[in-house]
Amino acid sequence: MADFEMRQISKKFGNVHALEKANFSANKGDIMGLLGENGAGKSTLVKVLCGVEKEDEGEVLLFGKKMLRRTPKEAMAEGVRVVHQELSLVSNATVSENLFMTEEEKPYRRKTIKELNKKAEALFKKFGVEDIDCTQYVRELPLAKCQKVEILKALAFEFDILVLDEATSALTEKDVEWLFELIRKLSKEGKIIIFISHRLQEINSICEQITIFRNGTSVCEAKKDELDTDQMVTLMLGRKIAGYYPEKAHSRKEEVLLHVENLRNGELTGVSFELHAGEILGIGGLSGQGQSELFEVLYGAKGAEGKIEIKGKECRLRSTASALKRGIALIPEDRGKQGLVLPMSVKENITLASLGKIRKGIFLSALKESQSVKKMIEKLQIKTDTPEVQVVTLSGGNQQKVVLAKQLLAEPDILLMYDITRGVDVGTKREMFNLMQEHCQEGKAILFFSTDTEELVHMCDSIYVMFEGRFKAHLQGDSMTEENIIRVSVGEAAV
Amino acid sequence: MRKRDYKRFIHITPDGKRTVVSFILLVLFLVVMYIVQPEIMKFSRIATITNGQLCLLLAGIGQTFVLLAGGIDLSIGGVICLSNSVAALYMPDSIPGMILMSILIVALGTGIGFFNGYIITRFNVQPFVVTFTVNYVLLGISLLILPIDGGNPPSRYVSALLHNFGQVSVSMIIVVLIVICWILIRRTRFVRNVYVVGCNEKAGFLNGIRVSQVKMLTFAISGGLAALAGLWRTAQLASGSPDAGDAMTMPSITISVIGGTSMAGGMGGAIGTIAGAYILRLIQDLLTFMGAKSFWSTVFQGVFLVVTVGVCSVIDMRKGGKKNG
Repeated sequence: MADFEMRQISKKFGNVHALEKANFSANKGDIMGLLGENGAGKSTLVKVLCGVEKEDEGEVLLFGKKMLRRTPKEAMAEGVRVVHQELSLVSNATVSENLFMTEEEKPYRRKTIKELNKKAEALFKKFGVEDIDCTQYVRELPLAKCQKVEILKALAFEFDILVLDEATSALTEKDVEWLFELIRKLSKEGKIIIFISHRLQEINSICEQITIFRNGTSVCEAKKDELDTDQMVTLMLGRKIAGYYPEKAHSRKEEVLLHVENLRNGELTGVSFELHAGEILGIGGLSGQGQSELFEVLYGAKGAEGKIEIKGKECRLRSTASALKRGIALIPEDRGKQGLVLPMSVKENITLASLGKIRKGIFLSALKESQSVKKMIEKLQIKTDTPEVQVVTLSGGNQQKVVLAKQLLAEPDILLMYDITRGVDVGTKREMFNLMQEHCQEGKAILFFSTDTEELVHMCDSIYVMFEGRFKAHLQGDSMTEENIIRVSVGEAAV
Repeated sequence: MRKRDYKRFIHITPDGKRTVVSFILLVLFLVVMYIVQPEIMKFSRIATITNGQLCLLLAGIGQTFVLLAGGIDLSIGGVICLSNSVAALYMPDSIPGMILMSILIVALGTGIGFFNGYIITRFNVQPFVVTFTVNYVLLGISLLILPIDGGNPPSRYVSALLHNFGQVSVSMIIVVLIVICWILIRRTRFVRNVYVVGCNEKAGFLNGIRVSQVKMLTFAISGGLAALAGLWRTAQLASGSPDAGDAMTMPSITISVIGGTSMAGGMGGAIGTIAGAYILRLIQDLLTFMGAKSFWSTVFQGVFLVVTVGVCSVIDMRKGGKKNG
């Protein structure tokens, strides 16, 4: 039996199995790399481990003792420390206050603040940190240093298991080296380290053991030397049940609808591409590599330097209203929060983005409105008693159809689709794909981001894969394979 | 199947339900009041009540707009005071002059509302903070131009607004006009957008709604209506007061909420607010009739408000629960 074991963990969100009888084990001194595609269950596993989510089934054992982990605090007391991808620092407190925030004693008396600073200095010395002043306020620190503080915060107390969830994403190269040094030291002290990263290179250089997750369960546990990059990619991908995809229409024409040159801001570095009429252009990569940023810029929700030409005319997209006017529409990631006004009716939601078209004088024409709504409901086969019911009451797939209906009613030339198939059932997906093709056959274009590589390969004319804010590769023709998308997503070169 | 048909036939929107609830409450209070004091149903009595409540009602409709877009306007009292003071002091005694002066005062109120809205949207400040402080500024200015209660608005102005056409008072006509206006503008793009912004600002923004513009306009409307309320008050009291109108701010929120408008935004409507204004008056009258001391009125109003908000919240929560489960 291993020192640390997660046995048969299952966790369901709604009808989706985030984890299904997942196993994970490690021994004292192991540096365990955790790999997997988006939605493979990595982060759910971490959340279960640190007490944020409660597993439906299964148990977690550390040194043969069952861990309860009813709250994050209890999980910490049981020896689990997690460095999350998102920072959890209090910006209006000093570094040392942040470091010992989880401690029981109250650190806000004068004397103890001095003590805290002393403790923090000792901690810094122990772990070889020289570039951070522990009396500084966190809000004054650059992101890379915040990330370091976050890591140190986890190290400030006794622990048995340290989870680093994408902890290197904000670090500089030098800091990554420091972290690796640290990890090796900790492993020599007999700690268990679980390392999650989207950079395969890092996993290769630091981890000794690798566990690969796919579809909510672990599919491979092996020593690093036993696997090469190709095998890892294949394992991450696996053989999924093939979904239904319509045959490619190849409706791409020569006319350029959207021309983007050297787009850059905080998250994007030099993004350039052309979108042709009738084309479905895929954007791939793990989420959080600048895709949402790119879509927001193209939709006028965020600013960026660079040139955007729509139908040969250069324009500045200052607001979402101006983007809509120029024929760009966005189907956002989170339909509940960004796409729909849930308490309002299906009718009101469908016409939301095209109220200008159903106007009659200064009033909205009830007739025109119900006609266009009826048309869209029939076209997309939205299942609803009447168009007057609140969108909240519809099922997820039907809600997504309402979002789609809303944007299609606005008749955009360029449709930006951001991971629209997530949490949507197979039947609805099929209808959506058909609609996408219909849309393109009318000479319009789609920019399609999806975390599902299979979808990209089957739906797109060509695919750009994003990695750290750049278009890392342009996959066309035969190179457009799931393997290649994954390879580029984790920082390797395509074959 | 039959049930579904019936649903299709009379479908009441969620906003409609809230309005219906407020009118049921109104009828309830009316019935109770009728039992203890039958003359309440007389036309002349209703005219008196309407005269008395119109100031609050106008302020409440403005507040409703702001609440619908997810904001709150605490400067309503200040605008009423300022409008009241200016009107009481400077209202000329000629018909064109009166009209011009009224227009100017309403424009002033609208301008103040725009200012509120601009600061709130441009610098991303809490509506509460901005309107709260602006309120103090306005109260100060009112005291500057009218240090003590007084002023002498022309009698023709007073009698014009308090005129009765037979049994029908001007105020009742105004209420009817408000209802018609609301029904009409409910069908405009702007009001639709107000609801969207109040429900889900992010979604509104992502669907091409100019959120700041919409918000600014609601504050402008609120300011304009508050100035109108001040004008009405001037006629009603035939005098000016630099600070009495300040007591209107909280009741304006109260009647909106009793009328079914959600303080979280996006739910409710002006028709309910009208019901709210009458309900508030009936509560006061009922307690006065029962011989309760005046502070009991406030206590009861408060309790009533808490219960109303609580009930609405429970309804919303149940809906939310359905969504999650």
